[in-house]
Amino acid sequence: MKPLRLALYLGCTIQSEQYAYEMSVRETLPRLGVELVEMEGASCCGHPIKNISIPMWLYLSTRNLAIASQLGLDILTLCNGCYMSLREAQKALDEDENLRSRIAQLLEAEGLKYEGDVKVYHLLDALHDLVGVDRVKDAVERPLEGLRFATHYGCHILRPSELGAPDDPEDPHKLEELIEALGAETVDYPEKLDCCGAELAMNYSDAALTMAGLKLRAVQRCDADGLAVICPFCMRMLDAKQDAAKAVIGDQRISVPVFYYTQLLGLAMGLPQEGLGLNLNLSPVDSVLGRLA
Amino acid sequence: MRRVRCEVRFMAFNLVKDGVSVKSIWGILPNGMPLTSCTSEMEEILRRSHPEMCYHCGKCASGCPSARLLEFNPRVIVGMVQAGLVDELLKSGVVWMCASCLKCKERCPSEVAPSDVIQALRLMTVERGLPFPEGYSTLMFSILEHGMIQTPQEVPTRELEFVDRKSLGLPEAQKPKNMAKFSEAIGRLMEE
Repeated sequence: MKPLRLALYLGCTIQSEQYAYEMSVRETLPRLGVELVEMEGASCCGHPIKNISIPMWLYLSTRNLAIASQLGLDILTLCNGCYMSLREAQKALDEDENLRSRIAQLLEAEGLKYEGDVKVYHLLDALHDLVGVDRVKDAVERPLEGLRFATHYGCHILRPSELGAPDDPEDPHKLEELIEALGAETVDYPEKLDCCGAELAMNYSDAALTMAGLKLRAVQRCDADGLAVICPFCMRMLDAKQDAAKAVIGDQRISVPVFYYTQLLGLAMGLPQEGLGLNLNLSPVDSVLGRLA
Repeated sequence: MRRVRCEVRFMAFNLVKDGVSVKSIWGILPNGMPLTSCTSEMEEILRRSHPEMCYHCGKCASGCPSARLLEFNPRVIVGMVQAGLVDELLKSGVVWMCASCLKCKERCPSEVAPSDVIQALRLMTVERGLPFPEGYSTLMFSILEHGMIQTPQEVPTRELEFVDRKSLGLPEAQKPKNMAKFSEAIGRLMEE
């Protein structure tokens, strides 16, 4: 099989605090035949700036596309926000020649040039469509038998589907397939597509935490052993802020172990827990880890 | 806020009741000014989000997580834009209550993109020099200085030990190679 080489784009949140995602990706993907190439000189994808300045957002996004372009590689994003932002930027550049030439001028000063030749993948479609579910299955040494996981895709990987969603925007299944490949079961629940609240956290923190709390309560009610996520912002809301979310919605019974999918993948591949950053999950994951021992 | 909201409901009702063509109202956007007074990017976002196509079915609001928790309703915002009440919308600050989950854009049966209308209104707020959440300025200055919205932090483990990239064996964090040139470009874009 042709070796896969992808430019690893971390964005801000993963490389500055969500270390478990980066660690588990660096541990697992190369073992599945994906060579991860560092993107030297990368910056923020610009996503939050899109609310206050279109040119600044587009400059930030495009310069990361340009770095991958100069490496001659497609991009692997791990964050839903970066994934959407980079692909929206591609669309905006395609459609607006004025913006395109203005951004090209600014990039030139940094010695960068974007040729429009970069594909942007999210971890989800990279694993499901490039690596393939069978290859994931073949890598499993210690199946996660007897465990049931609910999934949380997050908003910006599925919507807006006009960008070409990597999965059915109203009924996604790829993450379920990837979890079942590890020997675990998945459980469906009506609130699967609900938002974690992260984008509201800066302006309306209590409402954001309420969204996270309601999501967690829904997962708890569907009788899952844990929740699998694929976005650092969702992880921050559902894992690190779980106690705060419980307090805000006044439901102390909530206790949901939250994992990055790549942590579950690494566990099923039989990799040591430390390398997967499993001591960094702040939700009560020990109940699940104990059952794997 | 509540008063504005009631007023808009009433207006949206009138639009339908009196058989006023919504398209004819669309021309006076925003609030009496011709559309061309916005920057081309905002104009383009607004045009493509098609507020004039809304027939107020309420599907956007029914799936909206913010509408459930805050004094916020995407349908009402689109209705206010149809009615030319853009100034009132911008001054109310209500556009910052959107969680950007994009369900409204995804599910609208009439190809309206309420979330894009809201994004255009946010851009207008900034352009007109009206107050906007200061968090955005903090993010922008962090990008100007470091290329990222946040520099690498020490984070706690479940046992409440603190670790960082180095102690976890992660490579050095990325940032623009030539910070001076990068900041110059960002600075120029900030001034616009």
